[in-house]
Amino acid sequence: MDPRETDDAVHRALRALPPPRAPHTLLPRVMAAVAQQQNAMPARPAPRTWAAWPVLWQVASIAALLLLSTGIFLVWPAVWTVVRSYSATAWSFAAPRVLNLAAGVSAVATLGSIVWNVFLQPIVGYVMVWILLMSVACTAFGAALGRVALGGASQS
Amino acid sequence: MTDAARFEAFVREYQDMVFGVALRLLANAAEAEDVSQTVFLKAFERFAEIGESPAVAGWLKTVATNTCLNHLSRYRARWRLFSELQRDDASEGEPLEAVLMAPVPATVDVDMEAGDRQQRLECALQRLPDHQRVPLVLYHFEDKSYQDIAALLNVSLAKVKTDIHRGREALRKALTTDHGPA
Repeated sequence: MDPRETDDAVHRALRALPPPRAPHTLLPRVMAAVAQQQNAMPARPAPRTWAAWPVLWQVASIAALLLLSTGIFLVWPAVWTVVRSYSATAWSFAAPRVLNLAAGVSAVATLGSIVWNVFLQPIVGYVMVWILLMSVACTAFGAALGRVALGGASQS
Repeated sequence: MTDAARFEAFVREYQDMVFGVALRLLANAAEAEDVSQTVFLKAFERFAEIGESPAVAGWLKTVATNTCLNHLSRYRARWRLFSELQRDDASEGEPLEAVLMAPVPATVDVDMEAGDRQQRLECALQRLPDHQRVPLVLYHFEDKSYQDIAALLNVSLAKVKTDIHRGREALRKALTTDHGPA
């Protein structure tokens, strides 16, 4: 038989197969899963724009905004004066402590530098080579595992 | 009609189609049912967009196909390591057509020639190995081109053609070989 005729015959035979029917359990399963999903994520009310608020809420929000603006306008100079005086006091109190802290940090940095130069720097090259070798070995193992166990083999 | 009722009608309308795609690709009814549920949950998440769309059938088929391929590559390959490899070793050397010609389960209409023929073909299709059945189903049932199938399965065009050819040959033998009483 001509290969094309064979292909056509198989194609016709396959297309003539009756379509599979879904099992009776599928619909209840899907609806139960949908209900479970809806329960897990309760629907949040859609956000409403200001224009969609009730009139009373709109008036109240405008009043609150005006009150807040007026309060800030009236109180701000007094607040600013207090903040300036406190910041000057705080800086005079904190300055010596900040300098002490900086000196401490400098000492620790010096110690770290000495430890690095004496103990770590001579071996860092060997450590890097070891990390590189381990990475290559892990990559090779992962590739082999993927080939054999996780599907690569089924493609052949 | 509530959203739940609309979605139930939607599932009722398309469940055979989605399950059919999944069953043909996976050749396993339980896995096909799982995949169908996943597909309909995805549809539910986008039901407001796709519910009334005329392209919803195509969307469902595409999602079902992709979910099946994902399922095959992600889960079945792992499962194969612990189960099928042993079976493959055991049946090594056994001709594929011998596997395909194995007795099929008896059904009500097994005495009807056309029905028997279709049942044998369906059975033979389901017994094909994944790498032959999947491209064959995509080509003959989903009307995908060889190039589309190669891209979908991430394999070469030549492999797709070879696998489809071998699958067809196996099915042709299943159709043409005389068989004894069931």
